[in-house]
Amino acid sequence: MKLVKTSPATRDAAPPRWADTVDFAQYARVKKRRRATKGVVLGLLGVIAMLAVWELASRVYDLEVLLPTPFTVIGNVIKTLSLRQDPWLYGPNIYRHLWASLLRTITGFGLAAAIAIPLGLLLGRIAALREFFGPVINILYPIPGIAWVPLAILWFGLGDKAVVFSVFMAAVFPLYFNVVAGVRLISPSLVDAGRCYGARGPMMFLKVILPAATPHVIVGLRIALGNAWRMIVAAEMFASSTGIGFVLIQSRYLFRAVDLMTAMILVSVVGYGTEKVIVGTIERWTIERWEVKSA
Amino acid sequence: MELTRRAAIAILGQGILAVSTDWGLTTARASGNTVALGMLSPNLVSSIHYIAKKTGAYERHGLTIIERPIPSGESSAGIEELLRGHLNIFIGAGAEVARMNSNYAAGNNTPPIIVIQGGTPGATSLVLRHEWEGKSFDDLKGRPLKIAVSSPSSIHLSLFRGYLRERYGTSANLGWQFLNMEGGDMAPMLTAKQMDGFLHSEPATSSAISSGAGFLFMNAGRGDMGAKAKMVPITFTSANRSWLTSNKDTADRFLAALSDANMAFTKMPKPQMVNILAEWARLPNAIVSLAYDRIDPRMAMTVEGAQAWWDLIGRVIRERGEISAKLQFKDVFATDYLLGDKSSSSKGAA
Repeated sequence: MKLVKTSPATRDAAPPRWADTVDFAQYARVKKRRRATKGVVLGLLGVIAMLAVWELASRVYDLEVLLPTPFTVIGNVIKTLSLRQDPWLYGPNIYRHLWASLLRTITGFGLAAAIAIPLGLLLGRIAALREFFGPVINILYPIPGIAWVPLAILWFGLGDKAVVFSVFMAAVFPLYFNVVAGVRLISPSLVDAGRCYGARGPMMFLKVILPAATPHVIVGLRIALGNAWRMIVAAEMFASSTGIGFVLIQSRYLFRAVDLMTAMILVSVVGYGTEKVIVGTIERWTIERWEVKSA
Repeated sequence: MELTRRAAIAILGQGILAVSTDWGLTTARASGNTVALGMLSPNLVSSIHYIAKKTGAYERHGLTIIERPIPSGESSAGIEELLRGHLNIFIGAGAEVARMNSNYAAGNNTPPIIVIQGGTPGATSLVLRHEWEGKSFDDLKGRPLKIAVSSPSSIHLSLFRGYLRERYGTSANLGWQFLNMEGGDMAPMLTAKQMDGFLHSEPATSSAISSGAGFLFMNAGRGDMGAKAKMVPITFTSANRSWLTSNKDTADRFLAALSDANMAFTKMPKPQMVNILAEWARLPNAIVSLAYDRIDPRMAMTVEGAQAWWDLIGRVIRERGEISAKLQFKDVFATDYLLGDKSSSSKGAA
C-alpha cells in the first residue's frame, strides 16, 4: 500500500504533516477488501468444517443409509440435474418437478402479494377498516400454513389448486402485517409535506405512502416468499403427485436419504434464486430508484 | 409460589432427562421377557396383536409387551424405528423391509431387518366410483383415472403392479394417476368425486361400499388379481436382526403367542371377534362385520407365501429400481421362523 504522497509540488515545501501523507480513501478500500476476504475465508472454513463433520459422522458411525456423505450427495445432485440418475423413481424428470413447484409457489405468492399489499396499505391508513377487519385477520393469522392443507384438499381436491391455496395462506399474513406496520410507521410530517405539495387520495398513496412503506413491503415479500417455499414442500407432500415436495416424501418412503438431501439442496437453491430474482428486482425498482433509506 | 431460577433449571433438567431416556429405557428394558413392539395403529392389519393381548396369549408365554403404535400409512417409520433399535419387532406393511435392506445389500453389508412372520393375504381391494360400474379392466386401461393410495410405496400399489406385470408384462401405470391419501379419506373423496377409486385394504373398502361411495372392482382375496396375489402376505412381522440373534427364545415365544392368537381368531365366534377388531381399529362394529370376510389378520405365512411375495412384489420393485439386484430372498425372510417346508425357499433372486 502506497501511503506517502511524493508529488513534485510538495517535494520542496515544508515536511508534510502525518495526516497529509495518508491516503485515507485507499486505506478504507484496502481495509474493506481485507474484511471481505476475511469474511469469505471464514465462511469457507465454516462450510469446510461442516462438510468435514458431516463426512466423519457418516463414515465413523456407518450412517451411509441415513446420512450419505457430502460427496455422495453432491455427486447425486449432479447426476439428478444431468438426468443421469438410474433408476429415477419419481415420475417426471427433476426439472418438471421443480417447474411445478416454482409455478405453484409463484402463483400462491403472487396472489398473496396482490391481496396483502393493497389491503395492508388501506388498512394501515384507515383505522376504522383496520378495527373492522382486525379480529378476523388476527384469528386466522396464528393458524399454521400446514393446517390449511386438509381443508384445501377438501375444498379443491388433490392437485394444484389445493397446493396454491395453502401457499397463499402461508404467504399472505406476514406480508399484510409488514405492509400495515410500514404504513403506520410513516412519519406524519412526511404526509403533511405531501399534502402541502397537493398530494391527495390516490396520488398520496402512490407518491408518499407506498414509497415510504416500501422497505417494510420488501421485508414482508421476503418473509412471504420464504414461507411460500416452506409451504409448497409441505403441501406437495400431501396433496400432489408432482413437485419437489412429492420427490421429498417419495424418497423418504423409499429410504433414499441421498435423493431426499438432493431434493432439499435443489429446493434451497431454487428458493434462493427466486428470492434474488423476484424480491431483488422489486427492491431495485423501488427502494433504490426512490432512494428510500428507511421507513 | 415463586419459581426460583434453580427450581426452573431443575424442572427443565428433569424434563429433558425424562424425554431423552424414554426411548432408551424402553429398549433397555426390552430384553428377556420384554418386547418393544411397534404396530400400525389404528389398523385392522395389526389386529392379531390385539387378539393376542385380549386373549392373554402374551402372558401365557411369559412376555411383557411395550406397545409403540405407528400411524397407519407410516410403515417406513416403523422400519426406521426397528433400524434404530427403538423397536424389537414391528407389525406393518412389507415392502419397506426389502427397500431398507436393499440399501445394505447394495453395499455388501448385512441387512439389519428380517421378516419373521407375515399375514393378511388377499386384503388388497380396488374400489371404484359407481360411474365405472359395468366396465371391464381393459375398458379402464388408458383412461386418466385418479386412484388413491396410502403412500407412494403402498404395498397394495406394489401388489397391483405385480398383477399388471403378470397380466401385461409391464408394471407401468396404465395411464392412471396414483395419489397419496390417508385410508380414512378415501371413501369421502370418492363421494366428493375427487377420486375415481382407491387401492387399499379394510376398512376403507367396506366403508366405501356401505356408504355407497363405490363398488368393489377387484379384490386380491377373490382371485381378481391372479392366483399368486391371493396368497401374497400384505402384513409382515419384522424384527431387528441383531436383537433377534441375541433374543431367539423371546422371538420364539412371541411367535408362539401370535400362533395362539391365530387359533383364537379361528375359533372365536364372529360377533365376539368383531367386537375385538372394532375396538382395536376404532371402527363401528357394522363396518367390521361387513369387512369380516375380507379380513384375515392371522400371522401364518408359509415359505411358499414368502416366495409368492418375492416372485410378485419383490420382482416388481426390483424391476422398478426400488431395490437392488443384489438383494436376495434370504436378506428379507428368516425362513426358520416361517411355516411350511423350509427347503423350498428361494435361494436367490426371483
